[in-house]
Amino acid sequence: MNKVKSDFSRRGFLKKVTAGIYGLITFMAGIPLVSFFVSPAFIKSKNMWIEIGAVEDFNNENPLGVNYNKEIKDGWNKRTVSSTAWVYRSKGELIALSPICTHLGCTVSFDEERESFACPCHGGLYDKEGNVIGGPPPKPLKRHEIKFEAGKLLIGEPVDRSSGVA
Amino acid sequence: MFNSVINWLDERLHLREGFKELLDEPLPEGVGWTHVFGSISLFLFVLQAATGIFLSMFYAPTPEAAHLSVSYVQNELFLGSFIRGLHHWGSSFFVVFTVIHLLRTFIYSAYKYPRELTWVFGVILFNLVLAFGLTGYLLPWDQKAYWATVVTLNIAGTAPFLGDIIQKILQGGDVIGSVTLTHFYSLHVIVLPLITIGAVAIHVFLQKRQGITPPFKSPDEEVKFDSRFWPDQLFKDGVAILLIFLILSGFAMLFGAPLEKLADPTDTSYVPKPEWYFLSMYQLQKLFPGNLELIGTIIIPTIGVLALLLLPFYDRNRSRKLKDRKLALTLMAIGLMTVGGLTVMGAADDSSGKLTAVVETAEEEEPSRLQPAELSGRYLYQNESCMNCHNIGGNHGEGANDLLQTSGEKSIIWLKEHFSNPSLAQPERNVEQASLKLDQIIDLKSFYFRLSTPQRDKLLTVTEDILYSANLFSSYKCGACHKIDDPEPGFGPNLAGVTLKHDRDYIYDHFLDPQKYEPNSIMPKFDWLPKKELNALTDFMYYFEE
Repeated sequence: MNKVKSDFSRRGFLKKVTAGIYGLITFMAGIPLVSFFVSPAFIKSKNMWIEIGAVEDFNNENPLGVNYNKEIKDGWNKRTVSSTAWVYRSKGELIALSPICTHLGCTVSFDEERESFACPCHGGLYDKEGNVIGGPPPKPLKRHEIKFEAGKLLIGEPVDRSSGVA
Repeated sequence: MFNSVINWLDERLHLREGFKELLDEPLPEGVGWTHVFGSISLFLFVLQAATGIFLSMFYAPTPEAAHLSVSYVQNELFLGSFIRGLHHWGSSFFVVFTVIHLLRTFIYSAYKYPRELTWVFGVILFNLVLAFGLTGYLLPWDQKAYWATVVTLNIAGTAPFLGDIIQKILQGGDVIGSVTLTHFYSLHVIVLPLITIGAVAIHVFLQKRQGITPPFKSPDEEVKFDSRFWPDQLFKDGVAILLIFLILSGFAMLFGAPLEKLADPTDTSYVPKPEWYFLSMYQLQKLFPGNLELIGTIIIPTIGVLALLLLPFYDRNRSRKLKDRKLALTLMAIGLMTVGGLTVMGAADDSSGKLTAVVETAEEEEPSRLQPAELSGRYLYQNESCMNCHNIGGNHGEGANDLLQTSGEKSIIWLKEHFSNPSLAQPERNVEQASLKLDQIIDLKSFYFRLSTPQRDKLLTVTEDILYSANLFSSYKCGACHKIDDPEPGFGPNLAGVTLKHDRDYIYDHFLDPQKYEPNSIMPKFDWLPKKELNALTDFMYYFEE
């Protein structure tokens, strides 16, 4: 009777160890595979500064669309994409707005008559400073980081405006 | 919670009963550690499928993008080289363990009545494993991939009657290229996996249906069943699988997966060699030259496969005892030794001897004087970023890669690739791209090849001034018109001995306005050069005096 009982617990233990081994193998193979698969989501693209013109060219108070080319990494390809930044001077300070609507990513353009940015997709509307004045956008237009080098204006990544500005 | 879900399902589907049938199989005595190889093979199939699926998410099957995307996986993705390594070495392990499984089955007589069909599907699966290896080999689209596939497809082409058309169907037209790659890709990731899953299912179903062969027992002997598939055998399988997985991971981590430079169909110097598990066939085909080639490429391999496939039907000896099967075991040993011997011969046989001969004849033809391109190449070696990764015999650079160790061995195309994008030719390292002009690449190439000649020491002791001048000479393309040791006439006068004809002032002023001295000269004025460079170029003429 005792022998049968100890035999049973021995088999029970063997079953647990065996299940454990297969679990271990699954984890040991699964974790590297999954982290490999998700890794591109965590590759940070390099912050590149792009020269878009001479500082003294931008004295306009209404946003001026400046087209520029940007090298982007697309997986194993490198591509050049053209994009627009809306540059203007506000109280003497240069500002470069990104034209990407903060709602669903369509491209806005400046309407000189109404002095506002309008999004063609869902009717988002921003004033010329990029603040939301109508429609669904949740946040103001992003502003590019800016720096000056030898009289030239360089723009970096567009960043969210701090909430204080709106 | 978990139990109640199981109970809910079981009430409807009677799953427990099914699993009991599948897992609670009683095993005859003597079954144990020698019976783990089928499970290992199945595990390797699942692992190849898993790594393959994730690799396919980052792979583009076109000749333009394939190599780039593999290089991207290798160099830029987290654990990319490890996952590639698992898949690459996994295929070798797969071959090894299916062969061991097959041999074990043979030794234990498990292919005999009533398990003939299990054996037949096993042999089919073994051939599918080889087909996976063959089709997967092309996908990285590097030199090795391309040239091995050229040979394989041409072997298919030697088959009688339909060979030519089979080759064209496989490669998808007259040339090996885009369509070949998409064909092989589809075969590798869709067609072969589907067939394999079906064959595995039948193979395993047959085994479960008929049970394990009692080891070394005659069919009429009484058999004692002393263990169960779950958990006894699955425990042993699990331990073995874990061990193999650890070893495989070690291979993947230590050696990664090779990625040669981009396939170059115009390269005539590349000597293709197949993966080790095809070396025996590669060697076999060399034993039958000329008209007899067909014997090595098609006839013997076909006979071999048929002999394996039909084994249970012509081996009518019912006994499973080793002492009754001396002939079968002897034939197996002969077969193994033949394949093993051919593999070793194939591995040992390389054509490096021929390549050395080529280099030696090239040396004899080299002019003995160091040429401006070679000197300029050394200047570039020192002033571009070469020295970060390279050294020359322990000096001339901080890097770990000694140029003398490969000197003369790398092909011109490899070098060109390496100079224009260092990480492309050596994907295991990620080197920042140098922006070299074509002329500079040619200079570096000349320098590299000169390092493998007896003039090496002279090249490495030339003064910095001469190197600087030589680089100017090269970058202003003086050599395009002026030859030095080349007997062929150039557009301009040969510069050898020019300092014997003219004095230094003449040479210096001649740069400023050639037409002043030679009214018919077509040489452009170099009066725009800085004085320092003019002086250096003038001094350089004295180098040709020797």
